[in-house]
Amino acid sequence: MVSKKAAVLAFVGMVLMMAGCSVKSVGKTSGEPQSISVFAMDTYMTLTVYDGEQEKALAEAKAEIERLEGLWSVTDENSEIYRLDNSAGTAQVSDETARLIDAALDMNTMTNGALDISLYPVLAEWGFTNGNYKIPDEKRLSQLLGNVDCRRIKVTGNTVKMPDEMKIDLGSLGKGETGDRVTEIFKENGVGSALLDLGGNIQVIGSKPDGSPWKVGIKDPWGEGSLAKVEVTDCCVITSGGYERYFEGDDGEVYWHILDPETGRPAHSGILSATVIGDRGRLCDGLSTALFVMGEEKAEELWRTVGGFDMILITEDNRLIMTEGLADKVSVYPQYGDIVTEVIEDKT
Amino acid sequence: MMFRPKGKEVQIISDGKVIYELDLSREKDREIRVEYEGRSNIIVIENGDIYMKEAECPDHICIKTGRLSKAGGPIVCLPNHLIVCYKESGELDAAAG
Repeated sequence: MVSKKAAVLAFVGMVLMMAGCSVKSVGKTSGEPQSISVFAMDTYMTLTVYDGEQEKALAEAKAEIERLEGLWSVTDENSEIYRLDNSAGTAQVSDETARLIDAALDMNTMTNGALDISLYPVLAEWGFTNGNYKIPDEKRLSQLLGNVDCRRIKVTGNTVKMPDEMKIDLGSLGKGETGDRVTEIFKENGVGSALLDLGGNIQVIGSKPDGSPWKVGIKDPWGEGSLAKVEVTDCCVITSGGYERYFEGDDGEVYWHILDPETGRPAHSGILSATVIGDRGRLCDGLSTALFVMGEEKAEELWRTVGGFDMILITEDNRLIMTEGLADKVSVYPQYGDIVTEVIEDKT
Repeated sequence: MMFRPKGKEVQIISDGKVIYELDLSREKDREIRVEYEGRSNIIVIENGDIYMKEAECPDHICIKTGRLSKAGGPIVCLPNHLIVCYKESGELDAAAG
């Protein structure tokens, strides 16, 4: 591991030197994509840049992803979140961690509790954090649920205070925030066209090198492949679906990883996947989970009252519901002729 | 769903590089061994299914994932930088989810 890091640093150094002495060859739109894969945050990420200072942008992005993972990992004993979770309930954290927790608390309010970062111990009890799946017994579940309520977390400057027995996990919005940071780094390096795939969280900069929009698939929650595509520029497309991680219990039922903070059990709102499309990865990431939990009606209400995002909901009864801003950007593939498409409009 | 997309094209990606592209509907049963930094994984193709049989990794999440399925995400062995996933349709730049 150490030798690998050293190798990466040496590589970054080389790239920086090359950038310094031959700006022209590294610079502007060659149109030739350059990409890297990063294994981090329990997933794999692929970053592709089409212009700007490509090598430097990618190297800086990789370093930043690894730095943020080091702050937010729930399992790394040196991370800020691990220290907070395993403290007596108070810890000092960096600016970016404090800001992210703050954002999570705001989103909890905004979604009426549908997104709750303190649900982590319940998620772990189901085995969704390590793959040792089991159906928790009712007693244990209600005991753990008693400690779930992120409104009891107080962030003051860089100090986070929460009840001793509470444990948090920023997994529901950390990847989105990371995508936002990588986007910033790319822009600082003159990148005007890039595709970020952070384990299925898609964030794009600009359009494709030929000027056309990026085509992003919306996965078929029943089967393999994509059910629809959405054409986008300069935005984030982030989906939460039960199909992403689940297990079949001894009772033959399917249990998926998106839990309702109210019950501590897999959320069954009638939605099979919720996609949020907007400017900020952090918001889209957190909201996609929340909308999945909230269900169609409450999701629609949130879109009308708060707004600032578009969404695509795929329901158990074969409907694809999208907000009006997407009407000319989404197309359902012909083999899904049995899906009913609905567009919701902002009547106000 | 009445209309499933046809074909079962999968990719095996090791450390970011596609090392196999397979059409499971045509593949014979066999095992594929992939190594990463001296640790190996064994992927099995069996009756048109694909799954991770063995993995020299601490958590074995990849094995527990079971067969690559209609509803599942990719089979991922993070410690060994190995992914088994369905290939995306040609016109798409990426897929969300």
